[in-house]
Amino acid sequence: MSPTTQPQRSRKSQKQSGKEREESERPAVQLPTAFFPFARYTSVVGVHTSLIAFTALFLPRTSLSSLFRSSAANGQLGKPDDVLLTLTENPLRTLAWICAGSCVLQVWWASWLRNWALDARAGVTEGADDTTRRTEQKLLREEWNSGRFAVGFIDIFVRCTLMYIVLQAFRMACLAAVVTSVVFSIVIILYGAPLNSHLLRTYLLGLLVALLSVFSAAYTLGVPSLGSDTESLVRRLTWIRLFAELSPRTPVERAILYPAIGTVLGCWVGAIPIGLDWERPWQAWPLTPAYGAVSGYIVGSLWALAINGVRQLYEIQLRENREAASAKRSEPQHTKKKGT
Amino acid sequence: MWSRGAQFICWVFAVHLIGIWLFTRGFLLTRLALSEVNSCDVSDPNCTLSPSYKRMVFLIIDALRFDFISPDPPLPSSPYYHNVLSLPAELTKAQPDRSIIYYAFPDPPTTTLQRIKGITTGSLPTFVDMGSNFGGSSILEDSLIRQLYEAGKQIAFMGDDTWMSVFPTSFAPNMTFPYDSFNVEDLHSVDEGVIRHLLPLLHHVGHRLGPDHPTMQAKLQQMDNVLRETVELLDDDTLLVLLGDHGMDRKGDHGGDGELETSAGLWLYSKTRPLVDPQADIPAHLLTNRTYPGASTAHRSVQQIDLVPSLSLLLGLPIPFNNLGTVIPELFWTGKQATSFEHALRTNAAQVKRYLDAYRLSPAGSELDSAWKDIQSAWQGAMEGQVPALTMNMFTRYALEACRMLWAQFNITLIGLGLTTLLSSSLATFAVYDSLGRIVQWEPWLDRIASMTLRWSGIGTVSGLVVAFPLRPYVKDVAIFDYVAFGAAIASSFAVIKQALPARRLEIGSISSIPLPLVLHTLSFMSNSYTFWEDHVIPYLLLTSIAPFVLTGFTAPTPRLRTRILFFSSLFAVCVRLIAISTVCREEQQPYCHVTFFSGSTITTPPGLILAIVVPIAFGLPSAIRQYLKISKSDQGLANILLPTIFPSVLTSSSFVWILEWMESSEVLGPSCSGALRLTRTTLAWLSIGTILVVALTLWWLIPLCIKVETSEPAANERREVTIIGFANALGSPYLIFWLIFFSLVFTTTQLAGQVILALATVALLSFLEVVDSVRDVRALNLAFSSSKPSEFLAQSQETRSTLSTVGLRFSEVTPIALLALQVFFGTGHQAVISTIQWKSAFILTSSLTYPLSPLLVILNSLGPVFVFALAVPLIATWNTPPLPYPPSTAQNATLRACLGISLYFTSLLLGSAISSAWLRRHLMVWKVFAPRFMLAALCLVAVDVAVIVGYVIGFGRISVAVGRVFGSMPGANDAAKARKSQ
Repeated sequence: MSPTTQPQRSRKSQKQSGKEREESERPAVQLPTAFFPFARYTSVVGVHTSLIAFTALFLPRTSLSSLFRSSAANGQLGKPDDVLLTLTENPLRTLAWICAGSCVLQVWWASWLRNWALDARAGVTEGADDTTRRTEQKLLREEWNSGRFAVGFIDIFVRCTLMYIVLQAFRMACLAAVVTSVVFSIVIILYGAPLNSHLLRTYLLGLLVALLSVFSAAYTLGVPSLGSDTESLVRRLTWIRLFAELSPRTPVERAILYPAIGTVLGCWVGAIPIGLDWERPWQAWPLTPAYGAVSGYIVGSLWALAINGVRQLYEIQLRENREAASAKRSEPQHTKKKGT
Repeated sequence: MWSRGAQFICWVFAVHLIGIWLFTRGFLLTRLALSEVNSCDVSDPNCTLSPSYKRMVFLIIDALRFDFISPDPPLPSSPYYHNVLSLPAELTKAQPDRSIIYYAFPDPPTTTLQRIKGITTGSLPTFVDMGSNFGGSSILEDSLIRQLYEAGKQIAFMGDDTWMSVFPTSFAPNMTFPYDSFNVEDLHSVDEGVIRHLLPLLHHVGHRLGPDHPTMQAKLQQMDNVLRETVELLDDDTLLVLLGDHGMDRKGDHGGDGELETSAGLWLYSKTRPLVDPQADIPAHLLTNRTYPGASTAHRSVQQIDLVPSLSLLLGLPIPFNNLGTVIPELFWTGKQATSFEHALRTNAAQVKRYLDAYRLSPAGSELDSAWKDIQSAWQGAMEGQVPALTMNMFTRYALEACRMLWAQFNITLIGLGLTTLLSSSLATFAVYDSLGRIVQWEPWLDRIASMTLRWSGIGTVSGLVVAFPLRPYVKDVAIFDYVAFGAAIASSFAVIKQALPARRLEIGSISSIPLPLVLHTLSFMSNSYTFWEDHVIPYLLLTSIAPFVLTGFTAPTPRLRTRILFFSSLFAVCVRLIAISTVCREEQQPYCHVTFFSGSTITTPPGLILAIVVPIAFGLPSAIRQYLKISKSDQGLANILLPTIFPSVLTSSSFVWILEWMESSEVLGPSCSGALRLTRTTLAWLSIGTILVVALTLWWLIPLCIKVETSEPAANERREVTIIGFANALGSPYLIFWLIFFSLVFTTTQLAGQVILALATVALLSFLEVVDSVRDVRALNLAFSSSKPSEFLAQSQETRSTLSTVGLRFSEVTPIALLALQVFFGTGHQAVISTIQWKSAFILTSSLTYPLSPLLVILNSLGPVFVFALAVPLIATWNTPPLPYPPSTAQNATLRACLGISLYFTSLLLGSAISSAWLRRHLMVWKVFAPRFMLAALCLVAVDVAVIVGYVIGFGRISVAVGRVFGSMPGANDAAKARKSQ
């Protein structure tokens, strides 16, 4: 029995009620071959979006920030106005905190996504010897992740190779984020950000958008290149399909794409309130686009979760129906045969 | 050249004009400011009364509402502003014969400038006072200030510098202390300045904090103290007048006609001499009372402009010519005898009659048509009445009411009719625009529509007439013409809508088909912030509008298309961003805006950069355009004649015109050279405009095509081969040359910085055309790939291909052109305010004002950018569209749709701004922000419609005729075209 069929089997056998199904997902999650780790995905998205929200709203107000506070503003802590005051009195500091926080969070989220993507890829690929190789790799990675080390020269070699690959991917993703942050900053300036002032703030906004939208994609899918070999061509086409045609095909792609769209749209919408003549401190550049981007990211993440969940349920239902139908079809056949 | 399409566009234009006319008549109140001065002889008893006071202290506290000084404030009273400024009430109680408080009614609009005019001239200022000084704000009408000045009195002034702009010469220079009033953040500098010299202002506190604020109390307290000191220092011959120019609403704002905004306080005080006779037996009907909202009793009330005749007569001055106020009875009535009052009233009534007669004879006299009969009979009554005090008062009051009706009240009916017309016309335009994209046999269909507009306009005219007569007595101030025009417009619009939307459900499915930039742009006029920051909103929307093209660019199947799309979109974006740098800020944008647009009045010295680059840019622009034409090899024929020689010289000399203008006005070479400079620049300007209009236009008319036909010598046994270079862009390239002719005209009238902007915008436009062309190729290729038999698809004729929505014209391709037009308008130093009109451009051809040349040049300078870029819209349809099969039905259809599309865009903007200004007509900002934007939108729509007609009828019409002459007669032209296309 090939391991790829295992989750399907388990699903097939335990598909009576929703609760049971969720329970059935959980053991599937622990297996490295989990194609759609629904429960774990839900919990990770929940934690991740909460932490992103925390980063945006609380991190800039931590005690470290007060080191940089002007002395005049001290001594007024505690009132609800202060929440806004600490967040808005120095937009640069706020932005830096959000960027730092999301940097850490995105690395975690992206590595989780990458694992999922690798699992998914391994899960869907079929063919005997290929599968065994990948299973071996997966087992190794799982061991690596859980901290257990197998001894042996080959193991060490494989592990080093794996680590090298991961590091290389991480390095490329970082590079992609940095490059796109510059591109985003230029785009933001083209959209009307000041040309000759507030450049650092604009850059931090670009960096934030790049971290939220590009980093996880670059780490999970690999950085697209202009090379002409098959792998880079496929990679490039995947990027184009995702980010230009906006048509994801797998749950992982949705989990990458929707938050990215949300980030960009949120940033775009966030620029609108700046124009109002309310003279509020939160209208300072670039607070509203930054918070718009963060909110868009969170909404996009949850949206991807919802869509993925619904599609998953739909697919399961579809499969059940098909199985039921095929079962029905086979039954009368039996009776017919008996009859004849 | 005249076609069904042209007829339909003209119908659209006519309906737009009707809509604008109806709405404007209802909304934009205008009045002719007469410049006559009452210069009667003071010794003549019919001129004025003998002076009761020699001097007057006239204190205006901005936004001093009646309840601030009322002895009987409304309950519950506020600790912040009631009974704080208590001196008037105290003195009135203690000395009722020397002090009197009135509840004054200031006429809306209660904006500061309009109230200053009202208080000093006694007239009813409207938002737009037409007169000889449309641009400036100084008051040229007769006024109290002017009468004082003419009488040789010295006028000291201290306070808000708005007064200095309206009376620049009247105040005694050594006793004048103006302070900048605009900075409402600064609560004290004006007041402290005035207190140093005399008196304060509430206004800023109100604007910033609203009346319910401790600062308000402190401010009123401070003023009460100042008043007490003033009263201390008053001498016997001096009359003290304290008034608020208008009230304020609960938030501290003013400008509209709300009850609190039109509640101002007025206090008159004479220190020793009796001012009023408490025993005076004044008939009750002469004394009006009004109850302040929430107050327990009614208080004696007057019209604020009644102050003007009253003070004039008290000071022994002639009443200002334009006055419509009536003398206040108490001030002239002593005991039981009314002789003095009757005398005053007679003088007053005669002056009002004189004014009305003069207005009746003026060019705007027809405004009084409806009221004139009643005015005449009221005057007859006043002359013959048994009780003159009664009848003459009735006459002056009637005159005021009649004028108020004309000048101060919105006509909601007309506003509604105008909006309905605009809305139905835009629906009709949209229906036709949409149908043209779907119907393959569109020409006969459009024929039907065009004849239908004519027929139904006739039916509408008749029914308008029929309806008008029974309705007239019930609906005020709607002329027969209004009914007729409305009837014609609405009937034909509905006929078109019904015909073009044959019970077809609108497909709501695709979200991408909603023109998001247009929706946002239209909605933005609901907010004053976005309206005055529109110059920043537009680049944002513009970049948003090309984002879908960039995304398509990434999906391009070939690297060449991808590179082209990405490169040209980036170039477009960079040009747009560079244009956005240039701005003349409007005052609401301060302090967040820096003026970067050089024009003599905003920045006095041009940035060296502009001076350095403008000539190379003007010279190089035609070669840049040639590079774009080279892409499609269409830099042949006419383009080869005009682009290397005529256009560079014309554009360069246009730049020199403005460089010389700067040299002349800044006297770089010293004053002696100015005559020579003037002569040179006039000659240069005439030369460039003459060359464009005579040489370029004639050449274009004669040989519009930019193609080259090469015939190879036939080799043995072979047919002769004819190669047409520039075939692929045979429609687009001549239109570009046609467009450049108008572009050069506008370029000549535009100042230096604006010329750079225009050049950038041209690059942006051409880049956008390339993007659109490539994106269409991408769509077509993708469609071909996805269809089951690509070869079959490619073999299809151009005609059927265009009706497929994938390659036909889309509204999203028109949107960037429309936005670019407005972007260039803002970039060339304009804003949606009257004060940014660049009057300088009136004098480039002549050194003095000449009609009709000078106004024409100003119009070209102001609306030229919008006109020119609307004129460019057929380029989207014709660029890189080969002219075969002939007649170019597909290109014609697309051109017509592009024209209707941009007209729709600007109609939508007009609707947005019209609805917002009608809806917010009581808003503080309506006359500063919303109404000017509406005016700009109306002018832009007219400019766009004219451009579209010129472009479609003359430009495209002439080109298709010329193309027909070359290709139409070709044997087997269609086969050749098909063969070429499938290659």
